[in-house]
Amino acid sequence: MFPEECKYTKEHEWVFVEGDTAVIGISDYATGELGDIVYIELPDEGSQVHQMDPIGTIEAVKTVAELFSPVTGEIVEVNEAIIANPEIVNKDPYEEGWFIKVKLTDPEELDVLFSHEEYAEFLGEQEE
Amino acid sequence: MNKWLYLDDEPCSGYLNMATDEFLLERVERGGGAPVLRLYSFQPPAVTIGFHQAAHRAVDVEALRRDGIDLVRRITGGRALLHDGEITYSLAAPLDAKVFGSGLRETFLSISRALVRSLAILGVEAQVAPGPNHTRKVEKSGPCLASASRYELTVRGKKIAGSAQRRKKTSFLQHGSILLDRTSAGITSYLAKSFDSWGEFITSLSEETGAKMETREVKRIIRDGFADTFGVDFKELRFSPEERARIRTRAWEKAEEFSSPAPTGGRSHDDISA
Repeated sequence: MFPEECKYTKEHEWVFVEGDTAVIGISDYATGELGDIVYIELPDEGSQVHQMDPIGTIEAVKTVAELFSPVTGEIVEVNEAIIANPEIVNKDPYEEGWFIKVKLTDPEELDVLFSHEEYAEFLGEQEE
Repeated sequence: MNKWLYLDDEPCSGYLNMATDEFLLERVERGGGAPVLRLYSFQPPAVTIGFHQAAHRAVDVEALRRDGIDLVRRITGGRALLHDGEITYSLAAPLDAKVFGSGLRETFLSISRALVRSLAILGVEAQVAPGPNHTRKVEKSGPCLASASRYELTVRGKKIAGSAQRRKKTSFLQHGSILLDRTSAGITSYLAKSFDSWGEFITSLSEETGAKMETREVKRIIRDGFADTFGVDFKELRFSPEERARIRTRAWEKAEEFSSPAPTGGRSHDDISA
């Protein structure tokens, strides 16, 4: 997918919706801030997640950052490749580096997330 | 002038120290408010391991137990570190505190600048290791101090302080170890895999100043360095009896994690390279 087609959180997760399923990852801004990712901890397939609850952790260059679910629903797929090789996320955060897929319970939740333009504005404000 | 909170703790166990840091982070996460600077040391000496490290693959748990050295997990990243002959700082603050800049890298950088200023007061000219992502990798399974990551402090290319961070939704905690002497180089005796000759990569305040550093004096100077850098005053933080009880309970839980004869606690990862 293209970053322009995603929704974003303030915590730098992206969401791309395919039908009733949300694909979730972290933005290239996040990977740039984190540096080399060395470890990713994610919930199991079948887990229920709630919007903006912590669902895992990412470790990079001595920092452990929490990962939040941008949506509510059931995890239907976990990207095992990034658990085995976290550097994939640094190389390709929007394609090969996705984290989880969630079957959406409430698609209206997506309305509270940033559009790509809003996220870019948010990043700009952060830099000021 | 902005007021921050300051906590000057007496030396205590690794369990209590790590429980206190965790509590401070959660306190800021729940309630926001002023940043909290805490300066502390470890008694008895303790080895802390990174949040995702598997203890039995990172360190020789039996040897630590034999020598009366506590083993405790940090909430932050990185690798094994022996806390002995050092001072640890921790800083818990809201993510939206503009004084640290924006984002993870600026936070690391701004705190490193405060530490540089502190060391300068002692007459030690420290540099901030280059970023981004610069890590002089000695060996992935080596000790925490064997490599200088981005924005960590070096003197003449040798590491003198190492730091690690945890970020939650609205807050962060960064803590790090400032070497008073070379005692913490003893970590090599306790690593699960042998690791030789990394002493050339570190230095200490005693070596750089030619004097034995008193903990109380170094603490005062670090506090002054933070006050100058961020333009703040400090007000002493005092925990309520309830807060102390919660910290003690958490410390017990931390002690329990590695109390079994063959600890299997921890994650599956022993190859944290950060």
